[in-house]
Amino acid sequence: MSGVIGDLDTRAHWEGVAEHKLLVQRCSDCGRYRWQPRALCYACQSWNFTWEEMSGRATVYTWTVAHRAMPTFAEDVPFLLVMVQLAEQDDLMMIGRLPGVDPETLRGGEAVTVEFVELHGVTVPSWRLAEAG
Amino acid sequence: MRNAAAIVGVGYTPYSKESGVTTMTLAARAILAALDDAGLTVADVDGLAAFSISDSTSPMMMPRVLGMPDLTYFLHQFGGGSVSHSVVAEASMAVASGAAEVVVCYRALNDRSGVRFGQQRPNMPDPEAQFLVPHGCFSPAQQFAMAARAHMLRFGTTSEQLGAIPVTQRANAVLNERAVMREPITIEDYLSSPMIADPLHRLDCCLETDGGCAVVVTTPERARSLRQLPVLVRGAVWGPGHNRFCAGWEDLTETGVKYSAPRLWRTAGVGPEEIDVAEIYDAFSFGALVQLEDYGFCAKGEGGPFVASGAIARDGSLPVNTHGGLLSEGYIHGLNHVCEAVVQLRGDAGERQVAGAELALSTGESGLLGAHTSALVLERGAR
Repeated sequence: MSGVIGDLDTRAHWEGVAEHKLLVQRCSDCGRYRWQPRALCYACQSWNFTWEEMSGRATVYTWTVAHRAMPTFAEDVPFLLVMVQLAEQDDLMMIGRLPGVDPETLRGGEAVTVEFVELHGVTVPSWRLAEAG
Repeated sequence: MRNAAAIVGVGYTPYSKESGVTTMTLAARAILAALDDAGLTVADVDGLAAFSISDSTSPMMMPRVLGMPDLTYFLHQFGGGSVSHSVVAEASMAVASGAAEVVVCYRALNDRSGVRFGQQRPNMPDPEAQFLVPHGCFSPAQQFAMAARAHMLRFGTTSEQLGAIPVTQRANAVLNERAVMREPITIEDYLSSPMIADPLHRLDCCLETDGGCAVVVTTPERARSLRQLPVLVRGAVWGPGHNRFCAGWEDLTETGVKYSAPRLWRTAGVGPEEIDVAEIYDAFSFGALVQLEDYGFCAKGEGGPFVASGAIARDGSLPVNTHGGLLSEGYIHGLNHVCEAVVQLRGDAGERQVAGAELALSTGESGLLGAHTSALVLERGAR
């Protein structure tokens, strides 16, 4: 069972992750999504927002392969980290793993979908290549 | 504020992997060395300014250590390379406003033998760490690597091009008796060096260093009576950042320098084409490459061909990191770039001297991807 992490601004996101939902804030006044979670909207400074469940669809923007890591993750080395752009808005950028994919095959722009996995005791949003077609 | 302050002293401790002394002692040595270079003593100092994100001894403590009788100005700025140049700008504002007359800016740390910066956790609560650490991503190298990969995807930049930066800078360090790394390297050495976070090799990443350096800032009027050729602070800029991958910024191939560079050139009254030597913050080679684009030395996306062309070599059109930089001289969080720029403009760089250097750019960047920056344009003064 995962521990829910996060602070007072982000707790709802992590509670969603624990339920395998990708929750992102949307401003109630201007409609802008924002990531990472904040108390106010960066576009219009409104304090009113809702949490929306994302489609989970994204595209690969960039990546790296970690050859060194903190002690907790040492056994995972080398591992592929991707930065993906959520489909809902062009500045929703998230970092996560893309397991089972050979980094040499990446070209950028690959369609991915979110998959919730447990990494060293913490449930996190992770990514997999989207089904073709 | 143009040319309202002058740098009149530079001082250093040895740079090494193990200083054998405390950070406090390193700071005292650097400060006194800079004062000695300026022909001043602690009795002349009325301001101290320092910055740190890790190991440091504060300007609130150093007066007691050094025996400074009075302090009318102090600054202890939180931050690393991003504020390395803004601290000198702040000291410049202090003397230009009359709040102080002689301010020593310093950075001293046991970053290699003590608390290793590259491995430590942030000192302050970091609201963004929760979205990185659980995935195994937190190191600056991993984040700069993602930006380097994005640049390669978008512009076709290659590792062979990127490697020109550490190779060229190491050649400069060979001539620098202060440098920690003085063995020449080839592009083949670079490409075969261990990968840290693809595409960044170990040689793309700066050192961790024990050491300290300091500069003495005063008014141009006071500078006239001192022994060194003054170096004037012609322009200074504070640049915006976006705290890693935050809302509103999705292009990792650009930095906040695209906003601050025009401001810097405008306030300095010069353009990049007039810069004779550039000390560009190089915690990672890729960071230096993209700054060369964003400060306007080459077009966006052309950083790879530019650095690979020989332009950044000592005999090139824009010598870069003539001391070897953070990659090869030592990692004093960027204040050592200011020191090198001053030495170049004085004409005191010996074998590393860029002939006829009149104007220098020196920059600071954050170790956090895309975060804020600061930079200085320095000008050779007159006797």
